[in-house]
Amino acid sequence: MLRLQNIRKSYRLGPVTVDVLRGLSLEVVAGDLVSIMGPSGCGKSTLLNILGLLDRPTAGTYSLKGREVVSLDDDAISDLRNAHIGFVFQSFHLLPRMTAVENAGLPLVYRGCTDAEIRERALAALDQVGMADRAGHRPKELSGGQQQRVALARALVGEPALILADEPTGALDPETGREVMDIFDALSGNGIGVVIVTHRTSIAERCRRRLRIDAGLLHGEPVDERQGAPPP
Amino acid sequence: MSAAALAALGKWSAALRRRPRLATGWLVAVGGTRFKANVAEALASIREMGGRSVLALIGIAVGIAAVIAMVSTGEIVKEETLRQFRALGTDVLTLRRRFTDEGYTIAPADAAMLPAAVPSIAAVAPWTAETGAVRHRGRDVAVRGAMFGVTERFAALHRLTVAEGRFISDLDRGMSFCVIGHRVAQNIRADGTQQAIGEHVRFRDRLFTVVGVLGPGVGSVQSAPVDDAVLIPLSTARRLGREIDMAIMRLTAGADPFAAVGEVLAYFEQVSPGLDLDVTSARQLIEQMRRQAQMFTLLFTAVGSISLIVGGVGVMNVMLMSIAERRTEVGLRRAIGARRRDIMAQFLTESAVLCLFGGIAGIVLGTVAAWAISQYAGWSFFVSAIAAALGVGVSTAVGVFFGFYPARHAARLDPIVALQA
Repeated sequence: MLRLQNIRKSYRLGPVTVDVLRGLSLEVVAGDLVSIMGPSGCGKSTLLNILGLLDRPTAGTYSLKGREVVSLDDDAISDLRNAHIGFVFQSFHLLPRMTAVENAGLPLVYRGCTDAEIRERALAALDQVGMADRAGHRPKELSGGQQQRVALARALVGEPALILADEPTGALDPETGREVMDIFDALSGNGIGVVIVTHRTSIAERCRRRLRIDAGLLHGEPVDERQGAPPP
Repeated sequence: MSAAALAALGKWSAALRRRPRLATGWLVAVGGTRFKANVAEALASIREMGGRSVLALIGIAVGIAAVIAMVSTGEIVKEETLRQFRALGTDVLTLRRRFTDEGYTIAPADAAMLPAAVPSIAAVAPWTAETGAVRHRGRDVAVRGAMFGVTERFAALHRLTVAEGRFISDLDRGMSFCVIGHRVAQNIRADGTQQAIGEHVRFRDRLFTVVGVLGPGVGSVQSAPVDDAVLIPLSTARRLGREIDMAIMRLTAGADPFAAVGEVLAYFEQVSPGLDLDVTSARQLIEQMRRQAQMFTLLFTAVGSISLIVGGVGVMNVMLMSIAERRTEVGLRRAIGARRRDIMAQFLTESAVLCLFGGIAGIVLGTVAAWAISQYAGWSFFVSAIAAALGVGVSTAVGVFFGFYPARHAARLDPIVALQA
């Protein structure tokens, strides 16, 4: 479903060039539940941004659903994000003016769906995360855990192939964090590839594949622990 | 702007203050779901801006008001010109004594002899006018009161109609009779007086008995509103110390108005040397009015463009602040698949809607200004549909123009950086 090969990313800081990722490779298949750990500044976020098509690698190839994406233009990349990728952030990033159902349905607005369709699918997504009864609430009327569930509904409303989560439980208490992880577990069981960046071992331990970034390269358990088979 | 329209506007703005989920189907029809979403977003975000957006809108409102006032005034003058043409005809000359030489006066006999002496003049009506309060039973009954001393021919030459009673007759010589303008009669009846005819009206310290009421007039006679006037016999006015200072003349069929102006001047030079007269044809009169309107146009263009620029920069500033406060929102929207042009469209819509609110306020303000100008100049007022349409168009255009830079700025934000904010 997703294959990174030899990804390099370097930034120029004045006269110095910093190599954050140094020839990293990664495959994620449908139904994967992958955690990526590592110390701050190791390039976790950079990797996640590249995976999420928010950033481009300096070198290397990235194919998503069989499509080479590195050379695509901004519009095509935006459309790919909309079609195949769902984001979950540590601080939720819900729009405060909108209700839960409006927040959850936001990605579909950019797909040109009708109002009725957006509402129907957003409600279904909220139902999937156990928030159907809070559809009319605004973020400030919801607890942190509830807000993250709405954000999860927004990530999955477009039926993505891949959900990328950046410290999704970082702002939540352990109990709520576990509930959110249950949802990620269920989503990967439904065939969505889930990649979670975290520094909490307890979260990583719930993932079927545990990877670690060190010196700009990925290390971790062997690929054969995966549930599905890699695409040809 | 009628009371009903104001009430509708109030209801509308109240509806906006509530959640605007009402009747948005047409927005979808116009621009699709995204456009509808953009407009809903714009309204929500403008509500959040509150006072800040109001300040930015003052400039837009003043600018649009000036544009509206300008176009309305232009329209009104155009209409007024046509009306004057229809009312007076183009075959009319007016004569006015210059006020510089008090010593020389137009002798009534000289005026009366004019058609006989100058072949291109068919008829003449000399008259005099004086402004002042018109009172009835101690009450002011004219907004811009005036007394005209006139002859019998005055009615025909000014195409005045008599609604009740009769007009001044040449047989009223020296009598304290008067014919009152339409509005004066209305004001007299306002206190319950059934019949204006037979009532006494006071001008200065003289009482006049009303013998006739004019129909709704042509508006103004040489810029004096006839509806607010009291018309008395010229002979009576002269006995009260007024001299003839004006005359209206009709040309004989086919006479050249410009040649006639010269002939009239030559006649008076002959019968009353030293008399300083100003003779104009109807065409020149209308030309004067057009120039007056042009002056207003120039003034409003200047005020309007300055205000629109200042207002536009204000809107640009408000939009930049709004975008700065919503950087994470922009980042999020980009992350979930909004293209750059989607972000651009969202903020352009917001800026255009913002300016449209200013534009609507400006249309109201400008219409009031046009009304005030019409009152001042004695033109009959109407709401110009062209002006209103222009106001909506110009304000939206200003919104798009000055919203372009902030919207592009938002569209070009790096989503990673924006999400970190």
